[in-house]
Order: sequence, then structure tokens, then C-alpha cells
Amino acid sequence: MANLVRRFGGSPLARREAISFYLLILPWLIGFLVFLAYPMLRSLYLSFTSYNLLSLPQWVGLQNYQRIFADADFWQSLKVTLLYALGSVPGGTIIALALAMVLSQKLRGVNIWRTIFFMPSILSSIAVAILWLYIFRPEGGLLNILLGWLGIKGPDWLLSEQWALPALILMSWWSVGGQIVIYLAGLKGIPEVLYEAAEIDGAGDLAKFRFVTLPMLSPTIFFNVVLAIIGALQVFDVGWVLTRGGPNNATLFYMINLYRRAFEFTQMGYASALAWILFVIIMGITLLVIRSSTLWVFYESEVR
Amino acid sequence: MAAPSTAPLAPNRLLTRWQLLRTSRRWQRGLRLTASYIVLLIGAMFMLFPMLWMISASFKPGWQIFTQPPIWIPQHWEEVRAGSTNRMFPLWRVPVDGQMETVMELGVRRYTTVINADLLQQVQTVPANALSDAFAAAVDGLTLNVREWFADGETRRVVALARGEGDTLIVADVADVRPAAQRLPLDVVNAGGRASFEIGGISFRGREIVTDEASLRVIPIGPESQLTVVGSPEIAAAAILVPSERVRDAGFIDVDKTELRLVTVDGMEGDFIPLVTESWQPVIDEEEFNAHAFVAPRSRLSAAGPVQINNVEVQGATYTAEDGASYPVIILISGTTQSAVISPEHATTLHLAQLGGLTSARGAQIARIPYRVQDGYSEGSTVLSVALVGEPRQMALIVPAWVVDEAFDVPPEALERAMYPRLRLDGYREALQTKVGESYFTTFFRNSFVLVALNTIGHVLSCVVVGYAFARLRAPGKNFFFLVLLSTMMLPYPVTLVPVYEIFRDLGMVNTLWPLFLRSFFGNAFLIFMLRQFFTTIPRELEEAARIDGADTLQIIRHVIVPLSKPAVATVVIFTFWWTWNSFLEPFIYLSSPELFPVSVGLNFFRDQYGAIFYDRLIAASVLSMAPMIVLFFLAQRYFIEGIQLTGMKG
Repeated sequence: MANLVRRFGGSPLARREAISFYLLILPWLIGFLVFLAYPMLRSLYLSFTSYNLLSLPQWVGLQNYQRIFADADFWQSLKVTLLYALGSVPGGTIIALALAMVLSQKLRGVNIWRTIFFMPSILSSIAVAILWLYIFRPEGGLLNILLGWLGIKGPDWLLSEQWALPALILMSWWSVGGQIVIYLAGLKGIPEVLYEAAEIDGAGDLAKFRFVTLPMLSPTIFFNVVLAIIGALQVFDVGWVLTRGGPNNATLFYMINLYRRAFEFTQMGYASALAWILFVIIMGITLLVIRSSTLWVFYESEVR
Repeated sequence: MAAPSTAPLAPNRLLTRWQLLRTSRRWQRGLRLTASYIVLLIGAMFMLFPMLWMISASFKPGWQIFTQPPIWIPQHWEEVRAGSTNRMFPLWRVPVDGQMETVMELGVRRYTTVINADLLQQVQTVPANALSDAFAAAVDGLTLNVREWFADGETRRVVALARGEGDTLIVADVADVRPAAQRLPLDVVNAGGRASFEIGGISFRGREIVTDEASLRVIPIGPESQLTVVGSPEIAAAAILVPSERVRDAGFIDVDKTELRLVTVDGMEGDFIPLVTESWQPVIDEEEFNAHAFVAPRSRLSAAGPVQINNVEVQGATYTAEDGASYPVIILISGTTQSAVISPEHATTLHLAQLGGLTSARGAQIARIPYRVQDGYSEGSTVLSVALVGEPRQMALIVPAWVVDEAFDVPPEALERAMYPRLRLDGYREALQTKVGESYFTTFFRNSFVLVALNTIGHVLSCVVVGYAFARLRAPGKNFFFLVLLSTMMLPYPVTLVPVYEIFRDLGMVNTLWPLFLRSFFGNAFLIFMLRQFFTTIPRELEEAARIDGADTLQIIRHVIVPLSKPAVATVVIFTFWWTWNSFLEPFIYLSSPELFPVSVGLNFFRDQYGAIFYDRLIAASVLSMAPMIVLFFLAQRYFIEGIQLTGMKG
């Protein structure tokens, strides 16, 4: 504290600068306090209450959490969401990485390819969901027509308990364009010298990928995998538009369950508890990935 | 290149050359390139095919979207309007004398194969178990039910004519049957009198058909077949809609090379040919209904017999108002104690409509009398909401017999849809004109653009200032707040969802646009970070000069930093557009009035209402909703890519 006062009380110029700084960040600071910090604490408090938005919150202790852990819908939604993340994240990463690797060679029309791959990812999830709703139609839908050409009788996709979630995962791979762009930039950033050195050492394509590309790109991959996991665990739009969580809760994403509790049943306390559980899960998984990253992420600074 | 060699290649030399080739850099490079392009092509197909399919589908009529086999290129199926109704008849093409002729369907005619008893002499009685099952076989262009008969070591092909005594069948050789067989309309055969006659000492029961010239004794043997009667498309224009209970059968009429059913209609002169009998719904434009219909108690109405308005028969009545004046009205919806009525001169849009597959009528009420309204009803080039008034009724579409002067039969499989490729814009037009919960798609677009504008202003104002502070100014605690800023970028939004909703509820802002743009005036962590990164690359000297000239910090930002940061500010604008345009959950939670919906929520609403009936309109609406993003993307792809790289390149 004394330190702070001394620094504020340093030269008048430094003091004016510090005051300007706080004045300028004031909009963000207010926004942070009002729309982020306070709501987080408030929702933690609400998670221990029974609250329907109309009357005052009633303290119920751990009751919400007890009810959640005894609720089959919660476990189903958790299972569905984790499976979705497990399907969409690694699949999407591999597809994005493979396409970026191919594009990073000196090919004709890199920009055109990149545009093609990138475009689907900027489109509104609702319009995309409606597009895929029709593609997944069992009769006359594009996907089953293509499968029919290969002599396969396609499943009922979104109408089938077994295939609805795989369909949503498949659909998520359509929007990996953003990652392709990121990996492409990352690949361009790898110094050519490293490849030349590897070649002198007699490395083939595979070895170059294994010992140059992957380590150099691993921080980028790591960061995007974390982002993708966080995104996948919070998915709502596509599930809502395509299946409403059905058939028979086969695609009941965590956020659909939470939305229903909060805004259909106005169980705000229960929903807040759900939100905090998701928050803890996301933080846990992120930490886990970060901890494990030392095993597979290569930071140049470590070598120096 | 391999060394030139003229010597014949020994096998081992060949091997070496192959090995050389395989390990040569050119070969490897070529191989890798080919593989690369294949991977890219597969990937591009996966990305592009759904988009192209969707764009193609948006130009198709609804029925064409899920056909099997698929129709890839939008087709227009020619059709003709039946009289002044909204019923359309699709047209067909059929080969006539080597030329394709466009025709419409007039009806169907059933045929059966008969044997002319006078031309057949040889018949035999055979035990049924000596015969195989019957199978259809074409004999000289005529289909016969043929059986095989194993007798005396040979197999003969026969046709069964009748059942004999006991378990036997009376058969004749195919070779004998064919010259005597012919195809006759089933109604002609059935119209003939019953007759019995003898062939080869066996008696048969058949029919005797008497025509002007001669009498024909026939044995019907089948199989029966159905042919389509077609005629000139111009016939449809003469179609008249009449209640089916007024239609009376009047036999048949010979037309050209075929025969058509004939009817008379009570109260109308002349003979008519019926085209189709269907259920028709009386409808009235919802706006006219709302403007002029009113509710009258039964006691003030006295019946005045049926009235015809625009070919709809409705119940007329005399309404006596409270001031004693009385005037004629028609009853649109009759309730138990009161009825919804309208004066005849205000019922201009009352007519019968073919609602086809429309099944999404919503409920409405006029003074507690319930009725139903169908939105998105289209007739010709107008799309409107119509009130369904009264019960559907069976109506027959008929044409005066004298109009039909040319008609012929064709097997159904010879008919080919009269289609040609054409981009159909109706889906787009109708999507924009279809009422979605008292609103239209254009309203959703306006709302989205308003939100984009407000969010852009908010983000630019706040993020530039905050970003500058983090980039340039020194202050105690700055690093701490920067860390806080970074950590909020990854914060899961569900945690704050409920309390933020609570805040806006307390501010009275639920079901307004405020919650959807207010927060952008308080900055956005990602955009602040991006701007800060950009600002740090601007040389300090430029600011120093301005500061010496007496500019304060805000002036420096306004006149030095912003002009130098146009690409970064553009990225802020573009990302704001992107996020706002695609945002769904928040507007979905905060808005309940459709007139406030942005495009994303409006589209979801449209799907809920019409996803099962208006495929074409929903797909067109989806394409429209994507259009601004796609345009923006192509205008500013660079900023998208740079911004995206920034989000993902940390590490």
C-alpha cells in the first residue's frame, strides 16, 4: 500500500499518467465488475438458494447440488457433452491440421483453397444447423443420397438415438476453417532452416513432421485444443435447433439442460449450480490439459 | 532426367530405372503434389457441397428438394391454372407420332383384355394342377396372363379363359388366343349385357357389347390396365368450380381417340367433363377480415338464404343494428350464440382455396369465437395471411364438354414431367413476405443491422480507449489488470448467464434490445487485447510530437492513434458484425416479441413454424441470413484471417 502511494506520489507526470490510465480503462473496469465479477459471485451465491426470479432467493445450502447429482438428466447431459467434445475436438484438430499441412506446401491457389475451407466457419450456427438439418434428412437428404451411391443405406441420423450425436460431431467438423487458418499461419512461422537442417541429417517427410513441425506447432495446437474443448463443452445453438436435445435425450447438451432449468422452469438457483459445476469442469479439464502440456508441448524458451 | 540410353533394357536395368525413378525428387514431388490435391479436393467437396446444395435448393420449389433420385439443378415444372382458382395442373410431355407434345391429365381410364368369342375355336379343359401359376407376358404388344402346361413331354403356353367343372380350367393356346384378343375400356365391357355362348362345345359366360355397327361377344380375361387420358393444356382455362353434390353422372362421351366421363350440373346448362374432385377451403384475407368482420348476436340476425360471393356459397342473413337499421350480411363463422359476419361488399377477398399441404394454421379469435389463420398462403405472386372461414367443402372442377375436342390415352409410364431448368426466385420472395409471428423477415434484418451498428459504436469507442491505456500508459497495478483482462477471455459464459439476466430484468430491459448492445460500451477483452497488440507497434515519437503541441490523451487517440490503426479498427468492426450477426442464445433468452428478433432468432422461429411445410422458403431464408456475412467475408477476408490468427496464435 505504502509502495502504491509512493508510486502514485512520484513525479506529477507519472501521477497524471496513472490517473489517465485508470480513467481510460474505467469503461472496461466497470463492465468487468458489473457484468463479470459481480455476476460470478452472485451465481455462486444463487447456487445455494432456491430462486424463481419473482420472490427473494431462499438459502437451501447444498440442496441444489444434491439434487443435481441425483438427477439422471444431469449425468446424461454430462455424458453427451463430454462425448461430443471427445468426438469434435480431436477429429476437428486432425482435419484442420492435415488440411493446413497440405496447404502450407507451395501449391497453386492457396488463397482460394483457404477461402473455401474458412467460409463455413463464419456462418451463423442457426443457418448452418438448418442446412444440416436437411442434409441429415433420412429420405432425400444429401448425406444419405451420397451414401446410397456407395451402396450404403444411411441411418436416420438426427431421428435416431444412436446416430444423432455422431451427426452433430460430423457437422462440427464442417466449421474447422478457423483452426485451419491458425495452423496455416503457425506453419508459416516455422523457420525454413529447421527443415533444411533436418534434411541434411537425412530426415524423411515423416521424420520432419515428427521432429520439426509437430514440436514447433505444438504451442499453437495446444492453445487451440484448449479453446476448442471450452467451446465444445458450452455448445448450445446447434443442439437446440437440430434436435432440442432429443431423440430421448440422446443429444441433451449441458447447456440445453441448463437453459431449460433456468428459462423454462425458472429454477435459477438450480441453474446457477449447474453453471458452477460446468465452470469447475471446464477449469479442471483446462488445468489437466495445461499440466499434461509439459509432456507434449514444446516451448522454444525451454531450450535457450 | 535419366541418362539417355539406346541399348535394349535388360530386366534388371529396368528395375534400376524404376528404382531411380521412384527415388528421384521429381517423382516424389509429383506424387506428393497429386496426393495433396486429392486431399484438398476431398476437403473442399466436404466444405462446398453442402453450400452449393443449399444454394441450389433455395431456387427450387419445395417438392423438388428431397426427390429421389435427386434433382440437382432447379427445374421449373410447367403448369396451367384451373379457371380463376389457385389450383394448378402440372403439365406432362408425351411422344405423339415421334414428336413431344405437352398435355395435361384429364382423367384415367381402365382397360381390360377380352377375347372375341367369334374368333376363337380351340379350347381345352385341363386339370388346374397341371398348370403353372399365371405370369404376365407381352404377346405381340398385348399383355396376357400366360400359364405353362406340361403335357406329353412338352411345355405349351396357354391362357386360362374360365373355370371348368371341378378343379379344372378352360384354356386356349396363346397362339390361338392372340388373334382373338383385344383391349377394351373396362367401362365399355361392363356396360355390355351379360351373355352366354359356346366355344368348342363348352359354354362360357361373357358380355355382349352392342355398338351402332355390330354386336361383339367377348370374354373378359384380364389383365386390367390403367391408362391416363390426356388432352390439351388449354382446357384448364375453361375450368369451373362447382359443389360436388350438384354434379350428376351422365354416362360417357367419345372424344377423339378415347372416352371421357360426362356429368351434368344442377342448375347449369349442358354437359361437362369432370377433372378432379377435391376439398376446398373458404378463405378471406386476414386484413379484410380484421377490418370489416364483426360479431353479431344470433338474435340480431335473420336468415336470408344462401348467397354466392366469388363462387363461394355462404349463408346470408339480415343484420338489424341497435339503431334499428338493417342490412344484409354474410355469415363467415357461426358460433353458438353469436356469429362473425361481414357485409357482402366487404368480402371482396372471400374465395375458395386449395390449401394443399399447408397445415400450420395458427389459432385466432374474434370476440371469443375461435378461427384459424394460415400465414404464408401464396396465390400467384402474392403471399398473405388468410383466415379460414367455414368448413372445407367438396368441390368438383369441371369443363364444358365442348371445350375438349382432343384427347387420347397413354400409359402412365410414357408421361414425362414437362420441366426445364430455371432458377426460381419465388422461395426468396415468399420467405420475405411470409408473416412470422406478426413480423416479417425484413424486420429481423433491420433489428440485426441496428444491433450491429450499436455494438460497433460501443466496441470501437470503448476498446480503442482501453486498448490504448494498456498499450501506452504506465500505472501501478497495470500488469495485474492486464492479467485480469486476459483471464476473462477464457471465462465460460454460462456462469454469468443467470445473474446478468437478473440485472437486465431489474433494469426493466428484458424484451428490449438493450441487453444485446449495452455491454459492448464496456469493452470486450479479446478486442482490447488485439488493439493493444497493434498499438504497441506504433512508434511513440508520433505521439510525443502531438503531446508537445498540447494535445491531451483523448486527442492523441482520436487524431494520431486511430488514423494509424485503421486495419485494427476494421478488425474490431468486422468481428463485432460477425459476433452480433451470429449471436443466438442471448437474443433468444432476452427477447420474446418477434418484432425485436434479430435474424438468428427469427430464422429459428421460422423453422419452428414452417420447417415442415415450406422447405423452399426456409432454405431461401437461411441463404438470405447468410448473405451479409458472406459479402462481408469476401470484402474483408484479410481482416477475418488476421483476427482469427491472433485469437489462436498465443502460446
